[in-house]
Amino acid sequence: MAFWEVHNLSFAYPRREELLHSLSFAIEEGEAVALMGPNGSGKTTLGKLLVGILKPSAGQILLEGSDLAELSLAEIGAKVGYIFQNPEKQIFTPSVEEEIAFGLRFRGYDEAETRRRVNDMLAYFELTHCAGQFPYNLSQGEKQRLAIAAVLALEPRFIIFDEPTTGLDMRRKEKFAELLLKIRSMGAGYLLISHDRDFCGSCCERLLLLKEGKLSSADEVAAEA
Amino acid sequence: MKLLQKLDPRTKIVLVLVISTLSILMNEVLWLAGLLAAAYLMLFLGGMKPGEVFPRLKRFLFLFVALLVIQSIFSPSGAPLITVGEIHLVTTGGVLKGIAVILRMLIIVTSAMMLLTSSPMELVLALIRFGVPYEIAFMVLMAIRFLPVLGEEVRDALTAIQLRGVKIKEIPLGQKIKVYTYIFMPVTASALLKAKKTAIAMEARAFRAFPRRSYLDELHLRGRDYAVMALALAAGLGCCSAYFLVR
Repeated sequence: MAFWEVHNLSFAYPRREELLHSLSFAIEEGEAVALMGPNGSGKTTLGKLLVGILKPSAGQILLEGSDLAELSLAEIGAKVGYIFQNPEKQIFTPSVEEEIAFGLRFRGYDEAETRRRVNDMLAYFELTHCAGQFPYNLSQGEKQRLAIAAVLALEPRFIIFDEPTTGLDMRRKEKFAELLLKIRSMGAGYLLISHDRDFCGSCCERLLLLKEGKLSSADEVAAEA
Repeated sequence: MKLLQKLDPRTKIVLVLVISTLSILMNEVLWLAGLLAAAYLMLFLGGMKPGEVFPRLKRFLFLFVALLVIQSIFSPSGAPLITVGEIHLVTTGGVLKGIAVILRMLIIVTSAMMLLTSSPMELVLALIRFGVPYEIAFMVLMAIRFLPVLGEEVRDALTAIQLRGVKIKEIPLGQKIKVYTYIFMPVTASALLKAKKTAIAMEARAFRAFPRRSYLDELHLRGRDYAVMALALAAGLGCCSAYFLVR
């Protein structure tokens, strides 16, 4: 059984033309997949459909065999982490360390384990110097790292990154590539939604190209390149 | 094009002011119901469809029910309907007052829907022509522009919280309240940051650099606008006089 199975998925925003037309694909557990495509092709929309933020107009999405329509966002969030394109959309606590600790406390981790994971994440993402700061005052790159740290601290089994390399400098991009390797070594998978063909090529084993509402196969992606 | 769309936004503002003022002056349920019917008639004659009007009222349903209950309890008069001990919880007079308040709100909301047939910029131009300073009118435009954005931010924060594994529907009330307080932080911070960025962008485009400014679009009152305004003011005065004479 695949981690995600998508059957004949179609989607249209209210009072707009259909954006995704009858997509069918599967993503295996632990797989590293890139979703690419031109601006406005529906990459972010597809990512949001996969975690239940948006509901399909037609078709079905199965997460480990369960119909996504019957799962709550919290149930989906327990298995899948989602990093928004704009990190400000997922930062909501008054301090950096509280942002990382938030999910851990709600999931019942004791204070010592929460502290340990928060410190690990702060150190890994070079955020220790701003642990007590108000997250909205951080730079764009720091906000991006904080958003990733807050999701990774919960050790999800699959992570969707929406344009994760935007706002990262070269050194941090390399560090992010290292992090993706670490995620793979932990047995988790990820879906990179990105325009960065080189980065996706080096970090993912499968490329999906979304164009005019349809998904192209790996061969077509290669031809496109 | 719908008849309401053809009218100048100033005409629509006058119509809304006349209807809203009448609804505040009147207290009798029958008169208010008549006024509400007149407001709906104007909307439908103006080209709006019931499908555009009634779904918008659904979001006020909870408020209407709450108003009915509060008015019934705190304005007791007439015959008691529900009594606890010696206290009359719900009375006929209280219920009538509650219905009157709901009708008044419905009239104001319904008549304000006429303004939806104008673009926000047209409404700002109309306010300026009424003598409202441009800065204030622009603030109104910004408020209209950013309200849906704030709504979207509330939804995003709630989604992010749930995706961290928080089952909002299942957690105890105390924790639920704590979670909801988290939503206000990003929304307030984001609103303040947006205001700051917008102010810089506006000043970079010479906002208020000169005392007088010109406009790309101009509003022009036509014959039908004068006719509708005159008719609305006359009908408003007539209704008002009839209401106070009959009372």
